[in-house]
Formats: sequence, C-alpha cells, structure tokens
Amino acid sequence: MYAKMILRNIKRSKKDYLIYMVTLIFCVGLFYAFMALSSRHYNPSLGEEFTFTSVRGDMTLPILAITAILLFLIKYVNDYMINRKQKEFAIQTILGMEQKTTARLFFVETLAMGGIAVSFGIMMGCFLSQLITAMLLSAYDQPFQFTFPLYTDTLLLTLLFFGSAFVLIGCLNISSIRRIKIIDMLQADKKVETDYKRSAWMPVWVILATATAVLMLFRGIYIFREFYSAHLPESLQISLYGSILSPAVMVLSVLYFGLGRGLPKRLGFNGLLGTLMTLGILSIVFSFQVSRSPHLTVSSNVEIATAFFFVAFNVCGFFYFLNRWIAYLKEKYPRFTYNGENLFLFGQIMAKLKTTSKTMSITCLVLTLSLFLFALEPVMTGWISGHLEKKSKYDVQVFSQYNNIRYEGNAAQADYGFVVEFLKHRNIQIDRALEFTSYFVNREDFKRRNKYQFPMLALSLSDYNYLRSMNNLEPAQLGAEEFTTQWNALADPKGIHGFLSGHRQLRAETADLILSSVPFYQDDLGPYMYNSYTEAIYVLPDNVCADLMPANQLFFIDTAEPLTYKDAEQLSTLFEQIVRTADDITGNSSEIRLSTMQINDSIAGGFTTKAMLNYTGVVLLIICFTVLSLQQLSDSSDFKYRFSILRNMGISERQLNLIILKQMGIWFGTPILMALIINILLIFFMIDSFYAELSAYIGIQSVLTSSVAALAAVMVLLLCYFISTWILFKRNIA
Amino acid sequence: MYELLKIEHVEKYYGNGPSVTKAIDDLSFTVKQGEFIGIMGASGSGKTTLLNCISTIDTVSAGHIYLMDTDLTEIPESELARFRRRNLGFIFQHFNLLDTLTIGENIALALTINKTSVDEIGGRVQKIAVQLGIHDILHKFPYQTSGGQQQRCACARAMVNDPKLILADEPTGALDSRSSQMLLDTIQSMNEQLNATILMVTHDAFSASYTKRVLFLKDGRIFNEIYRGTKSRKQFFNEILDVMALLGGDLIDVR
Repeated sequence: MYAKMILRNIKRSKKDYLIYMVTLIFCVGLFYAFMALSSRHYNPSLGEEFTFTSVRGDMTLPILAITAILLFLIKYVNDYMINRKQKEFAIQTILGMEQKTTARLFFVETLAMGGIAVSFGIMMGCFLSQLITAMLLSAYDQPFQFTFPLYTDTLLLTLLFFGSAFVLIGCLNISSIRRIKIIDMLQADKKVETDYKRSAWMPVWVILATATAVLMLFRGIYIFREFYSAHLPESLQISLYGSILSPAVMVLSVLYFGLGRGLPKRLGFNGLLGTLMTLGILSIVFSFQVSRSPHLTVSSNVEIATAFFFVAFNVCGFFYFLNRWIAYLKEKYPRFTYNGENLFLFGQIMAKLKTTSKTMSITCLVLTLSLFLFALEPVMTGWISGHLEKKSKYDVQVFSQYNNIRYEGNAAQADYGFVVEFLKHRNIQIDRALEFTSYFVNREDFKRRNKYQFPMLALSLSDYNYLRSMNNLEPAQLGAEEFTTQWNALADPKGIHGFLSGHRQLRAETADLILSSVPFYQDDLGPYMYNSYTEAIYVLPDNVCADLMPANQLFFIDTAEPLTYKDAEQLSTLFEQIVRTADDITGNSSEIRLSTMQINDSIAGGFTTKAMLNYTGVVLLIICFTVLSLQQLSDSSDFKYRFSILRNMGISERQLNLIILKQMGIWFGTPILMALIINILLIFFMIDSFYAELSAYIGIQSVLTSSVAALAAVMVLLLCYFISTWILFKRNIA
Repeated sequence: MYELLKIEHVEKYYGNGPSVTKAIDDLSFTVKQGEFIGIMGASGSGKTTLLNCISTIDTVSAGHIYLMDTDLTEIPESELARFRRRNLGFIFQHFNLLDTLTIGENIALALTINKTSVDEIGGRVQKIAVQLGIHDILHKFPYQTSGGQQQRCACARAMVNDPKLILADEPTGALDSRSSQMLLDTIQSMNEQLNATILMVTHDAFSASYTKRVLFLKDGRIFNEIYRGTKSRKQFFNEILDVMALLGGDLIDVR
C-alpha cells in the first residue's frame, strides 16, 4: 500500500519535480563527465609528447567541492516540496499514520526521484565525457573517435556522492517533517505572502558595511598622511580628501542612527542603508583613483576587496529597496499603474519580493559570480597557455641563478655538458645550441640581493646575436664603445623609455659606454636570461664582457625533433640527480626547462582551468536558474487562484499569457540584468588593470570576443530555463 | 421595466453515451431590469451550472440565453472575455479578492481592465466605496479586513463598472450571521438605490428572503417560483421555508 502511495505521489507531482529533475540530471551528467577524466580507466591517446597525469590529479577534489554546492539546491527543492505537501502530510497523520511514517514515505519518494535523475544523469554523463574528450584531444591536436565509456570507479563515485547527498538531506527532511504541528500543516496554504518575519539579513550587511567603512577610514587617513602634498594634481587631492570623508560620513551616519534615538529628527534604517550604499560606492571610486594614480605607490588589494564587498552590499540593498521603489512608482505615476494589467503585475511582484528579496540578492550575486567565471575562462586559459608558450622558447633551457652564492668564485661554475651527452645517447639531433654566460656590469653588483636592488646583468654582443639568429632575427649592431638593452616582451614601453632616459651612459668594470642609436630591443628571446626581479639585460661589446665577472651560466638548445615526454621526464630526473649535488656545494640554483613538459603543462593547465571554470560556472548558473524558476512555479496554487479571478473578471487568455510573460521577464530579467551590468564593469576594469598582460598573452579583441561568446552561451541556457518555466507556469494556472 | 435576461429552453449535459448527466433540463425564465432574483435548490439541482452558463464561463448544450438583445450562446470565444467585463459583475462565495492588492486597488483593477480613463478611476472607486461603507479601509490589504468587509469590497468591484447584470454565487456562504445580514442589506440597497439587476444563487432561506422573487430548481428544472410582492420579509421567509420543506418530495405535493 505504501509503495502504491509513493508511486502515485511521484506520478502526481512529476510536474513540480520536472525542473528539479532536469537540473539534477544535468548536474549528475556534468559530474560524471568531469570525474571520468580522473578515472583509472580513462586513457586518451595523446601521442608520445604528452601525458594526462597532471590533469587527472588536479581535478578530482575541486569537482567534488563544487558539486557539494549542489547540496543546497537539493535541500532547497526538498523544502519547497515539503511546503507543497504539508496538507497531504496532515491528512495522512489525521488518518492515523505516524508522522514518522509520513516523513519516511516522503524520504523514499525523493530518493526515488533522485535515483531516476542519477540514472539518466549518468547516461548523459557518458555522452558529455566524450564531448570533453573531444575537447581535450583537440587541445593536444589528436584525432577523436566516439565511444560510449562506462567507468566503474566513476560510476561508483557518482552513486556514492549523490546517494549520500540524498540520504543526508533525506534525514534532515525526516526530522523537519516530524517537528511540524498538524494544525500548521493544515493551514500551510492559508499563509499569505505578506505574513513575513523581519529577517536579520540587511542588519547584518549594515554591520559589515560599518566595519568596512571603519577600515577604509583608517586606510584613507594613513594614505593621506603618508602621501598628501600640495604639489599633487588637483583631482588626486580631491580623491585623497574624498577617501577620508566618505567613509567618515558613513561611520557618522551609523553613530547618528544608533545614538540619535533621543533626537527629534532621527535617521531611519532605510535612510542609513541608502547612505551607506551610496557613500560606499563613492568611497571606492575615490580610493581607486588614489591607489591607481601613477603619483603614489599604493597597492590596490584592499580597494579590490572592499569594491567586491560594496558591490555585493549594493545588490542586496537594491533588492531590499526594490519593493519600496515599485510602491513609490505606483503612487507617483497613476497613469502607468492603472494602465491595463499593470496594477495586477505590480501586486504580484511586490508580494513576491516581500518574502524573497534575500533569495533574489543571493541569486543575483551567484549569477554575477557565474557570469564572471565564464568571462574569466578565456582570459585565464589564454593567460596560462600564452604565458607558458612565451617561456618555452627553446626545446631545452638550462640556466643557473647566483642568488644563493656566497663566494664570487662559485658564480657561473656549473657544467651542463651531460645534457648534450644525454641527447646524443638518445639519438636526438641538436639543431642549434648556445652555451653562454651573463655578467655583472660591476663586481659590487654581486652583493646587491635586496628584492628591489637586484642589478641588470649584461650579455656579450656575439652571444646576443646568436640568440637572435636562433629566433630568426637580424643581428644587432654596436659601436666599440656603445651598449644597448634587451627587454622582456612584457615590459611596459613607458617604463623602458623612462629607464633609458636616465641611463644614457654606462660605466662597466673597465669601460665607459654610451647608449647606441638603437637603444633597446624587445624581441621575444625567452624569459630566463634576465636577472631576478629585472626586466632587461645590457648588451655590451665582447671585449668589454671579457673583463666582467660572470653571474649566471645558460645553455639553450633547439633539437631537430621535439623530445618525447618520456625522454623529457628522464632528462629532468637526470638533471636533478647530477646538478643538485654540485649546486649544494657551490650555492648555485640550476634549473631546467623542457619545452615538451612546458607545452604539456600549458595545455594541461589550460584545459584544467577551462574545465574547472566552465564546470563551476555552469553549476552555479543552473542553481540560479533553478531557484528563479522554482520561485515562479512554487506559488502555482496562489497564482492559479489569482489568475482565475482575472479570467472571471473578463481577461482573455492572450492577455493572461502576456501578464505571465511580463511577470517572468521581470523575475528572471532583473537579477540577470544586474549581473550583466556588474560583469561588464568588471571586464572593463580587468582590461584596464591588466592591459599589458592581456594584450601580450591573449589580445584584447579575443578577450572581448570570448566574453561575448560565453555570455551568448549563458543566454541560450537561460532561454531553455525560461521557456520550460513558462510552459509549466501556464500549465499550472490552467 | 424591460426583460433584461431571457433563458430559453436551456439544456446542459455532462458526459456522453450511457453516462450522460442532465444538469439543466429545458429551463426557461426571464429576469426584468432592476429585479433581484434568487435561485434556490439542493446540491446538484443545477443552480451553479445555470449561473456558469449565464456568466459565459460554461457553454449550454441546447437553448439560448439573451442579455438584452445579445444571444450569449452565439458570442464567439474571442469576444467572450470582453463581453463579460463590460456587461457582467460577479460576487463569489469566497470573495475572490487578490491578496496582493489593497481593497481600493482590487476595486480599481476592475476599472483598469475595462480601460476606464485614469482620471475617472480614483473618483469612481471612492464613490462606490462610500456607497458600500468601505471608504475607510481602501488602503488596507484583504487580510487586514473582516470577511464582511472583504465581501463588500467584492460587491463594490462587481458594481463599479455599472454592469447590466450582477451574478452572486452564495455570497454569504463564508460569512457569520452578523456579516451576512450586513452584506444582504448592502446587496438589497444596491438593487433598490442603484437599480442593479441581481441574480443570486443560494441555498440559504434567510438570504433568499431579501430577494423579490425566488426560483426553486430541482434536477435541472424549475420546481416552483414565488414572488415577494407586498409581503413582509418574515412572511416571505416562511413561504420560502415551506417550499424548501417540499423540495424533498414531488411537484404534486406543492400544488
């Protein structure tokens, strides 16, 4: 009998479960697909140069952690189902069934629904894992063939993960159902939405905002005292004052709110909130102008953190005030209010917002985060692969660093001959190679070990020109008493010109040199020839270098064919064994960089980042859309009643459809629009802040294109949810 | 007074084949403009079906319903909604007020749906509210008012568009006796002072005694019909009770 009841319940409430099921299937599918990558049995053929081990290890734990967020979604949907079914629970209990049994019946019901979702999800996951494999193989330039893989370890892990999630939440449900009084269950559907308790949500935000304002006030005062001068530009002076005044007024308004009870004119909570919201944004603008000014050296980490906080604070405040703004609009513009069905629409939205402004705020924030991850994905992936690509200029790069050497005689004393021996032994042809030394311009530079005082090193012209030829570049020309400079590809042109204008002459150990007519080169010759914390190296005539003290030993090799991954691994191990012992004696720090491993790491890193960001983004997006969708569907009994009144009053079905569309449009549209606006601001801020890196590694055009593509994908997903919710909504009120 | 509503040989069946149920069986009667008529009958007698057919929420199986010169059974589906909002006013047993709007907004909604000019809305809401004695609760939400006040709001909403016919379905069904009496006084005054034509379905003799004529339905047919005429309400009430006592028997027992 109980089994029959459960089956009937499932059949009857399948409409309510539909969105939940679709969501869960999608999430299980994604979980399985990504976890399959770390399966023992997953072994895509990536070719001899590559290995998949690093990807495998990196992904398991983050995926588990991200998927754990789904527990909140499952709990949310369960709470919604409990609310809907309270009357039914009450009848069962009145008929004599123990509340414990009622709760258990519900538990089995949800478990069954979850079971169905997991089975479909695993099937979907098999297909998805193939899509991901196709993506992975294309990243490694390998061909792809479709199979239908079912990995036992991944399967067990998926079942175990979701099974325990369902059981955990099921137990929580049992205890919460058992605690509900029968009378409350019976009257559950009689509660009107206006009957809500004042929550501590906004007061907590106000307390946090106050604390942040105090922090900003102290920081503002500190920066002012440290850097203020009447010579600074006027706009910067205003910003310096503003970054103290705005947080100060915020703190004062909190004091006025707290202590002003006895005063005739008191600041209300809403007034305080509005003041903090506005001044919060204002103080961020001021402090950013201060921290990003070229005239001051202030880090902007605190500003970034407070900016994030105040954006979140303003989002919550926006949803808190939205109801009041709509009420104000209603009063102020009767022509708009009394136009067609707007009156009804306002009523619908205001009633819902009264109880859900907190949920809407959180949804909007999560949505913002999710959209940001999507926008960030191409940037991060491009950054990682572009960064490593720039570093793997040569097939083998071996170099020493003198940073820990105490005795001058030990500098550049490493012997890297065994590398050539190894390559010969493996029949790997060397195409071009250069073993060379970088020098201290002056002997006393050896002792400059402070982070900001590391000296620029020097390179002989012949070595430099050979490096240029390895990169198919024309040789550089120098007069007998001239020097030039070679700069890292990432160096800021402004910085280069600034440096060169102050360094037109160079006093080397035994010679005085002047800057050549070609004062600098910025061709990409790899990042390892520069000294620590410097972005450039001097290029000096060979005879001048002969008298200089050696600093680092470098050996760059280009092979005819790329090294296999196995060879690269073995060379790396051999290097560790031989060089570490010698380094321990001399204090040198020798490193080896093999392009095979670097490219592999770059692709693996890029792929892992791409996969993780997309996975997190999709999971968060699905959670948000499900919550938004369920909020519309959860009150279908109220909506059915309200729309039936409209029908009786003579509103046609076409007009009703229009009202539903408008209502859902506002419901989905408001948080999405806010999230989009915040993201557009964030993207522009990001481009502005990291212009050099972004343009070097990825290209601004590509950042914008990828962001737009990601947003388009989000819109497609949104459209799917919107349409399915609209269809279900119409069915519910029919 | 002219004939406002004319019911002509209306029949309504549910189901088909052997399981067909006749809810209304060849029913004919007329309602004059300004009349306050009550429809009574036991559960299943067809009174709510009749009300649904007149209100165009349901369709008839045979026969015609005329409001003035318009045949309600011939109005195309696309026109029904407009016809309803221009000509009919509804008062339901469970008030059917929107919990998301204030009392005043609930009344105004009927006007906005009918595309009344914005400048008129405020005045008309205020006027009807004063007439029905709810002008001091216009800003309150339904859950902040009593059942009687909510039902009077429903009356105001039904009346505010000056409909040709007001249909009331058990309007006192969810009220206590005191609120019922107040509401019936209100409906009566709507009929007498505002000259509204009201058709009220009820199975409560006390409510029916406020009307000018009562039609008794049994198994979808008219079982009996009594007029108040010059009788006092108490006499009319007793007469209704007498007919009700016979409703369980057959037609021959009444005559």
